[in-house]
Order: sequence, then C-alpha cells, then structure tokens
Amino acid sequence: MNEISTRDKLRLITEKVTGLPTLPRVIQEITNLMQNPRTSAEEVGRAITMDQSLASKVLRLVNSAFYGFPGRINTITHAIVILGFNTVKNIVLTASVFDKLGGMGHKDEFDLEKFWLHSIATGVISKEIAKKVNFRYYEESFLAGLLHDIGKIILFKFLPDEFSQVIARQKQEQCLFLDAEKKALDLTHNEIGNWLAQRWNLPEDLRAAILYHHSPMLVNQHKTMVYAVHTADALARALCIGSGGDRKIPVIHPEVWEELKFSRQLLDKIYKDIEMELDKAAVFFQIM
Amino acid sequence: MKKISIDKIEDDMILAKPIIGSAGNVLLNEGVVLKVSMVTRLRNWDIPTVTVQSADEVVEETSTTQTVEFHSDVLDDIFKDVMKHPIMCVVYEATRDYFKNKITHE
Repeated sequence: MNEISTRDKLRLITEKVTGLPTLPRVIQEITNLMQNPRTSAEEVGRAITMDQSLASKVLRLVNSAFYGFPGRINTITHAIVILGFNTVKNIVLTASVFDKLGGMGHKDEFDLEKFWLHSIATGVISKEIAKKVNFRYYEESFLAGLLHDIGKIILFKFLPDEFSQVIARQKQEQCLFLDAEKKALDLTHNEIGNWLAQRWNLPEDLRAAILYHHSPMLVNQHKTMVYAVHTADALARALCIGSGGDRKIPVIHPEVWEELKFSRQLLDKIYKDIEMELDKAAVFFQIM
Repeated sequence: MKKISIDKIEDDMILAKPIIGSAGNVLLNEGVVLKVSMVTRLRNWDIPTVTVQSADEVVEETSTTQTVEFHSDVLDDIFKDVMKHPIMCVVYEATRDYFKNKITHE
C-alpha cells in the first residue's frame, strides 16, 4: 500500500518536470558496442567523437591528475586502448553528468558549488573505501558517490516550488535535508534520483546507491557499493567538504560499519589517503 | 607577502602560499594568479583569507589555536544530534584529531 502511494506521489511530482536533459545517445551506443566482443576501439572511439564537446571533456578528464594515467592521451581511441572500454565508459558517463546537470548558482541558500563539492568528495571517499575493502568496482563506486544526491539537483533545477518548500522546512527545523523532504513532500531525493536513474537507464549498482544510501539495510544487491556511499556521505559531511543542503550528519548504520570492517585505524588511513585525491578532483570544476 | 581577506583580492594578485581546504587538500597552489571572479568560490570553500605576494613585510599569521577552535566548533555543531551513537563518536574523534594533526603539521 505504502509502495503504491510513494509511486503515485513520485508520478505526480515528476509529471511537473519539463525539459529534463537526456543522457547522450553515445552512452547507450557504447553499452551496445561493448556487448559485442568483436567491437574495436576505433568503433567506440568514433561513436564518442561524434559528440565533440563530450569528447573534449573526456580527454580533459583522461589527461587530468585525477585519473593519473601516464603519458599524454590525444584521442579517444588511444584512451580506449590504454584504459579499456569500461574505464572509458565510466569517464564518458562522468563527463556527461557534469555536461547535463553541472553548473553553478544558488537559490534559497542552497549553493550548487557546495553541492558538487559534497558530491565529488563523496565519490572520492566511496572510491577510497572500495579500494580499502578490496571491492573491485572502485571506479563505479566513485560514480555512485558522485551521483548519490542527484535527486536534489532535479528538485533544484526542475521542481523549484517543491524545492523551496523543502528548504523552508529544513531552515525551520534545522534537520537533515532528507527529513525536511519527508515532511514537506513525503518524498525524498533518493526516490526522485532513482526516477532519473531509471529514465537515464543507469546501471543497477548506481541506481541502488542513489535509492538506498540513506537506508542501506533495505538493499539486496550491490551491498558493498551502497555501504561505501552511505559511509562516504557521512564522512564528507564530517570533513565539512561542501554541503548537501544541511549542516548535519546522518548516522552510519552499525551493520554497515561492521560489514565494511571499519575501525578508527581504517578511518584515520582513509582521511590521510583522500587528501591528494580531493586535490586532484578540482578538475571536475573545470569541465562544468 | 601579506595576508588579506578574500574581499580584498584584486585581479592578477599572485598567491604566495597555497590555499588549503578544510580536508587538508590543496585547493590552489602558490604562484596561481588570482582573479576577482574567484572570490565566490573561495567563500564557498570557507576560505576567509589568502596570502599573496607583496613588497610589504610578512604580516602576522593567524594563531593556530583559533583555527582549531573554529574546526571543533563546526564539528560539535554538525555532530550534536548524533553523539549518542558510539560509531558516530568514533567518527567525531577521528575527524577532530585529523584536523588537529593537520594544523600541528602546517
């Protein structure tokens, strides 16, 4: 019953969204091409280069210290040969998100730059947690962290009235943005983000992180990724990097802490090891 | 060099010391040419002052204790609703010690 009403609420709210950007067709094309083992790097390279603006952003990222690949990479095809299809696809997706939803500005004290800082930091920390627990999908964990709050951007950019209601509530109650959403809209950025992820046909692991980063115990699949993002979100807030719309910190679930085998020592190491990564992540502000 | 409030930044001033973010990361390196258009970004990064090249003598440094207190104030505020959770106390202590170490090593 509850499920249906949430779905109805989501439908009613998202019906108001107009002009939602679509992900570049090239992402679907790469996914299709990658399913064919005979696909060559040239074919994928050609598909990406069709979108010149995207291709230049991808090259900028590939050559940045953040990705840290040795030597200069001048063409997309070269990038694919050196880095592999999957890495390039992740970078294309990252560049596309900034291309479609990036940008600065503020409204009702919600600052987009702070929002992106928080998102990038959560991505960097998720990736570091993934590496520390030997989770092989650490690149995807960066993306999952980067996108976890994407529903807030939809609210900000496409649902201004609802957004203002949430901000007013947050201000009044000094609560988590999430709790303000529940009270004002009875719907959260997790559900709105998941709606976008479905529309954009994003991979399931990213969708799980978007939908369950505040309720990690509900997830059945992609647990490690969701746990990493759930924890990274809290750590980015602890370190005061950027802002997701409140100056609060959500509680890290004890089972998540246990499952990831977290400890004070691991935490100290993560804090130390992300310093350089956060520094390098400044490149994302250059492609917005 | 001299330390100035970010509101006093003028085009083409040159950073004499790197700008360090709240997590200890370098946001802008020394030698970077500043622009007035960067002020909003610095404000968003919670950077109150920058040290720029200048013919003037070295101007006094802000005391580090002040910075520690600043961080612990902000931290206390962020964590105030969650300190009953043992895990969050660990996160709080780790973060507080991280900031303290950072300042001692600068």
